[in-house]
Amino acid sequence: MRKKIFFLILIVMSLALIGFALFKGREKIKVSALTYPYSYVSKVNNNDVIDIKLLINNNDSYFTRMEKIESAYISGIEGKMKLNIEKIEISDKKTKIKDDDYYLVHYYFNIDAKFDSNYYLFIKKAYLYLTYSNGTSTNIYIGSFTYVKYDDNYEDLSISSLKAINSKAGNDGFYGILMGIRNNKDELININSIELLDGNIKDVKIKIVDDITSSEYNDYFNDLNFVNKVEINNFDQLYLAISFEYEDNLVFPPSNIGLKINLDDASYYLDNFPFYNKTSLDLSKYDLIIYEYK
Amino acid sequence: MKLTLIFLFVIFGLGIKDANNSKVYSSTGHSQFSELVMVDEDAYIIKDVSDEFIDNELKDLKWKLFGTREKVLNDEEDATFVSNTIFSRSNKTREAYTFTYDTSKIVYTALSVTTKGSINTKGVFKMKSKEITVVGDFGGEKKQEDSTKDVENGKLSVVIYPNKMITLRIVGKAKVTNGVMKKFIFGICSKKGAYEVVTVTSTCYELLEEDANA
Repeated sequence: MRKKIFFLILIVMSLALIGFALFKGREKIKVSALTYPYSYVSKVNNNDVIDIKLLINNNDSYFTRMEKIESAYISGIEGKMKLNIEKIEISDKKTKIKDDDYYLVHYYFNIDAKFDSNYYLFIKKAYLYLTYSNGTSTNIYIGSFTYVKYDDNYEDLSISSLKAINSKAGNDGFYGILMGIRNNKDELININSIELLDGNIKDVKIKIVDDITSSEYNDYFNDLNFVNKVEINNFDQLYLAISFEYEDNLVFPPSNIGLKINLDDASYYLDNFPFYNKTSLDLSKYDLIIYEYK
Repeated sequence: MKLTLIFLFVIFGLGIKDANNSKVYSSTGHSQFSELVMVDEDAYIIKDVSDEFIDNELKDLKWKLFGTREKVLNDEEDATFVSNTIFSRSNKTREAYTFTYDTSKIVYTALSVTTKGSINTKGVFKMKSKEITVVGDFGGEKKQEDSTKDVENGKLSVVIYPNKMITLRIVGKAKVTNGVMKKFIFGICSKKGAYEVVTVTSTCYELLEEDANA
């Protein structure tokens, strides 16, 4: 009798295990994305590495295997860029979204294109298209994508100091930049405008200030005496306050952005500088899109 | 703490390397912060309170057969911080030179723990990082697929002029939680002391040029 009960329990347990394994095998892969304002600024010969962050509920599926990715693109209404996968990194820590555990996965891509002259692409709503060898393809909204390549950089101008002005308590992002800029030539230089190279930023204006080490720098941004143009005398240095507006309310404010200083017959570019980073986020505040794949 | 959905992600190679290393001397008690200032004037960091104050707070913690008794003194209080200097280069020659630094190599922790007394920093870190759901570069080992190249983004080139010094540091906002704790085994208090957890919420990099002789 005991033997029969034992075998019965064994059979029930085996069936449960088989059922569980089959169920696991059919479990859907859920993917979500942190919608960043991705921005890359560099010289034409620089090999940029694009780091796209996805949240995936399975850390061991075809989704996170490099060899399974057949093609990759970032695409939107404004344009398309072909990508090559270089590396995938999966965090071992999990976070919960709507009752499921998710892993943060970094997909590192390089751009499959050569540039020999200035290039500018801004995709306001950018999607990551991935095609896998099993026929699955994705179309994941990842935020915005700014990609800038420049050929020549003006050598007689240089940045001596740079810092972002953090938003007041409770707000995200930064609302201004303080910059020290130096004219290294024996001639006056006209700065006609400054551009912050992220398509989400508009109305960039500048103003000469006395100093940028003062702790009262918030006052620099309280008046409206901002202009587009300033001059720097021969071998002189200026301190500038740079104010700007954001196009929309962004989930993540821009962080690593480059800038372009427009002069009379040339431009000075600064590659991405880590002005601001948001290092924690309450996911419950955001309406993340969850994509499901078999 | 209502932190179950707090999600930490850290860019620029943030790791946990410093988290257990905060017993080294620091004016804030945390090895990576040179300044840590509470926004609320009534709030305080553990480094600024006396041993007598901690002993008095520990007296409030009642006996227990097994486990931990804890009293939170400051809960998720807003603070601002200044990091230690990431690099500082001066030029005492007559020629300007270009210095390039790879900001993607900066190791910086989003969660810093310090303790006073016999409490183990590593243990508090383990306990607190469980309360906060953390993923990303922060929080230990990452499983990595084949790598063909190192990440090349994040190179910062600056020209350093004669008699000038360039410094890069990080400033930002943080949340500070601190308190006192006792651990009991068979009713015997095995460990006691104060702890402090600093969660960095945002960072800004600052590049500053000064006179080399200042």
